[in-house]
Amino acid sequence: MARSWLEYKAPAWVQWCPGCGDFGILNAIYRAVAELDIPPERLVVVGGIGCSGRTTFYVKGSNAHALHGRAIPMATGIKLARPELTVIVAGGDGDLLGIGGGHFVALGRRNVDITVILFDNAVYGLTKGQAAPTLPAWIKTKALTSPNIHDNVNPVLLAFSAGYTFVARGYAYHTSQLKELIKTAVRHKGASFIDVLQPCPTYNNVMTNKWYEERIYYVGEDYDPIIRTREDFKEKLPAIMEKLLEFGDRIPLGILYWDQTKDSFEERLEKIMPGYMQAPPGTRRISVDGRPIVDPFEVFKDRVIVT
Amino acid sequence: MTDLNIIIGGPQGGGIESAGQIAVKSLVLKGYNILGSREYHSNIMGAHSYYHLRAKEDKPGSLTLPVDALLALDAETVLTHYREVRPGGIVVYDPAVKATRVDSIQPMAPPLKERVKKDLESRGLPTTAEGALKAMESEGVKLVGLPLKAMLRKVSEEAKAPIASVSKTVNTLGLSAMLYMLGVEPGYIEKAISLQFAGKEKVIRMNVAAARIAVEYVREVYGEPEVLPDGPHKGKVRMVASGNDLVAMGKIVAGVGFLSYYPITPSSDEALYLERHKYVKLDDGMAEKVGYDRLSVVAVQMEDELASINAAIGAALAGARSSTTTSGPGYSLMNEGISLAVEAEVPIVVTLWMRAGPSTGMPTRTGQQDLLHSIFSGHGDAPKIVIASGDHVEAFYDAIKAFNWAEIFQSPVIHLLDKYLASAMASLDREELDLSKVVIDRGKLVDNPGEGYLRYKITEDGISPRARIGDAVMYMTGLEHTEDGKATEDPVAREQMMFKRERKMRKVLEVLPEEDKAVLYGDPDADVTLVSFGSTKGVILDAMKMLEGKGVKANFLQIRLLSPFPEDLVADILSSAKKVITVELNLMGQLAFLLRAHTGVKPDSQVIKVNGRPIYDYEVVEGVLKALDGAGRVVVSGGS
Amino acid sequence: MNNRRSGNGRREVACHSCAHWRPHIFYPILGLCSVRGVLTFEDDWCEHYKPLSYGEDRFYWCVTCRMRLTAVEAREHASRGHKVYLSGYIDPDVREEIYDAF
Repeated sequence: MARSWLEYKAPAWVQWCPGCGDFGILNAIYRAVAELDIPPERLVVVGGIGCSGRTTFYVKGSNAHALHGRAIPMATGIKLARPELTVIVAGGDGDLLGIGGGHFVALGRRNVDITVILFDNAVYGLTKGQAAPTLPAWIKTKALTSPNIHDNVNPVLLAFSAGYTFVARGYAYHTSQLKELIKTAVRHKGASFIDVLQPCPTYNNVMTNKWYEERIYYVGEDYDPIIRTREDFKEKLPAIMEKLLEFGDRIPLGILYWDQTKDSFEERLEKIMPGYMQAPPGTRRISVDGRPIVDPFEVFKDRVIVT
Repeated sequence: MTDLNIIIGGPQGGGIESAGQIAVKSLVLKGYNILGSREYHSNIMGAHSYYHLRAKEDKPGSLTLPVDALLALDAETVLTHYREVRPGGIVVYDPAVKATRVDSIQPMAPPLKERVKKDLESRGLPTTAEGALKAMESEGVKLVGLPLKAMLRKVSEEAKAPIASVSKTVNTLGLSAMLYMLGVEPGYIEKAISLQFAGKEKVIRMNVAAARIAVEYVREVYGEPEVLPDGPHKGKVRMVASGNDLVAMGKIVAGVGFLSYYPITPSSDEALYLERHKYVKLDDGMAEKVGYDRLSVVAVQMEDELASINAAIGAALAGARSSTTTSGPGYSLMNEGISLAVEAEVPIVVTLWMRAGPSTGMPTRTGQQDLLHSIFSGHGDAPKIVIASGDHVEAFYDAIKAFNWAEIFQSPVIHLLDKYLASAMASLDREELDLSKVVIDRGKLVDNPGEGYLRYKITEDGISPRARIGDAVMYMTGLEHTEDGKATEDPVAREQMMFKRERKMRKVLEVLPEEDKAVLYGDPDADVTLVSFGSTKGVILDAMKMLEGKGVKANFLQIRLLSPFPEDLVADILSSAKKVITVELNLMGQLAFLLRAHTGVKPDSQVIKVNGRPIYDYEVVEGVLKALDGAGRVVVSGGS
Repeated sequence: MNNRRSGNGRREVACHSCAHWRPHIFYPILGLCSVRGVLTFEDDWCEHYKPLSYGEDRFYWCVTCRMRLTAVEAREHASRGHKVYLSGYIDPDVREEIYDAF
């Protein structure tokens, strides 16, 4: 191990409530990027708005803090301009699946090589505990004046159907297992998604640590989520669907789906524009001695007319 | 002096675009400068659309009415434009449309039908295409009926071609007949056809055959026309491009690396043109200098405008020259992103093609209604740069300057244009897109920021050294922050950052040359000063000459930089103005509002146009004359 | 191909009244013969001729209105003298003539 996780700890007061699941996720991120030996200046953590978004300031990296819901498009722009960087999105359930739901789906379609970590506590913490898209119907947390009458979205199934090529679920307090999931997700070339269940001790008095502990289990060795060929997909789909759909008395954790057959968006760009990766937009030279490198009369011949 | 004005109209998808392009090319080959706009409905096919074209020796700054010739490819065109042809002009049409009644034309707008019927009835004419043709004839317009079916048969027989390919020549028959009647020699028309359909030999052969048959027919029936003299621009390498094209060209010349967009008129054609040229092979010499031989621009159609602006911001943070393009509705969605780019000091260029609002309004029609929207976009005291281009040439250079300013001042730059400029075609000379005038300035971009780098370092001019994401440990955020980019709510740090951002805008006014802020055209001692911004420039310059002929000495103050507003410069110029009249295509008098706010000058009168059509030279003249007669606000309403 | 054209005036038995004919949506003097797969003029004729009728429950195309119609509407438009066909012909290259429009 080349680096200590402490190297990634940014000097800042971590403002989360005592007992918050976010601490577990943050710790898992530190350890994962340390074990992956990613230089901090090459690590980009893009945070949304909400408690989870503050992760941007707690991980030492070359980071950006986006608008509410817009972490994914911002991360997409960063990654496509500099595909050599490691880009991780840290966002909450309201951020990624509520206000940013459209972008969450679009990332799957593009399969950009970004790791999305969903801090899933089913409530809006910073605005006093309103129901988030992952709160099941008829749950009445203390913060709600009446029971939640919206159904909950299934984040892993949504990610699967949107086209994410790596879909996993972790638990915030299981730091070691979560660290391994993050490492695998980051190594995967494509859009990866980890739904991290986490209690919000301040606002979600129903889905508590105890509530989760009674339900969660890790998928076993016998469960094979890896798709290596299209035939694989057909064969394994029923078992994968079963795991993706399971959320109730039992909640599976671990890698639920991992498609290794698809090109990332950057690879697709390289296919239509060979050379893109070698001279990506973020770092390529655009001028020589302060002068442009293309002449409109040479490049835009379709508009030139010789009279 | 030649001043040729033409309208080519027909159903959208019925060959209007290629007919218009062939007309443009014929006249450019003939040595003229052209200006041609496309007017069309928000529709894929079937609704009325038309090409409105002007050719002159010098550069036409404006389109005008009435025109010298109308090519009507269907009955609706006859009935829509019959009052827009000058006495002595011509209309080319298919006699088969004569019997078509106004009422039977489904795509035609009901209010227009009512106006046309009323007009024809008042003249005692039938409410049919024939009635409209008679109305034209009675005003001295020459009717040129083309028996299309017989002509198409002839094309089919002579070119020994199946009717399928002949069907693509209906527009060419009409166009060639019209151009020939206007004195354009067939050789130019045929060359224009070859250029238009370059690479499609069969189509060229067919259309050339059609052109010959049409010319032969009108020569037989109407005799040899007087030949139009050649214009002065022959033997040159020129360009014919739309405003959309020129902005895309400017972006590529500027070194754009990332373009995100969501399809919306009138911006999509810019993105499409850029996409067509997103992958450029560099010559060996240049490849050696820059270290790569194929230039690739990442152009991505995003899921919405929220994604577009935020992806553009991300790419800019990572060091790419980054841009997005949109129009009013999309820009509304981008507002929060603009505010983020101000707070986080992100150099992005947003090209804003104004169209007729509010709301979805008239998506394919023009207007200048987003001036205040662009300046005041973004919540919470979000100063930014807004530049408006006056014509095609400015659009090209401004697209490049916008990137320079974005990077120098680390600010969003809004490049303000409109639908008219977007789709209008203009002829340009090589000297007009002069690369020796173009500088690429990336401001305080640093390649090796080193240890202890502070993204938001407080400096005298408010501008901090800027490192790319991926080159240093740093934090960028839309939260208020300290110099290292960490979120803060400290009152002192907050104030420092607010004033830092303000200093950058002061610097803009200090650094930018006057020609990029506000330009006075004409005699400083003129009797009246017209003030405007954007695509009205050419129209007003043309109108000034016409006003002079009427004994009115006018000058023109073009405001280019709308934010930060060059108030000292504008106040200084206006302090010696005898009478101030604003000209703008919006209801509120948004420029007039800015003038009052920034300079205290209340315009004596306002000329406005809000019907979604471009303003014409004669309308500015009419507006100014009425204003000089004491009208406070003059509304002009031309166009179909 | 029988291309008889007789006398003056419009022939009643010709492509323009044939069930197999798909008139050009903008220039209906031309149209596609769906049997032979070629464009013909409205007053051409061939042995595949079959008179137009609007009995079948399907969509129709009204050239006069440039609109798609149901069978009921088709009969009504035809009774008002509109030119109604089973379908229209769109030039395959029409995209090149269309603008960005929303």
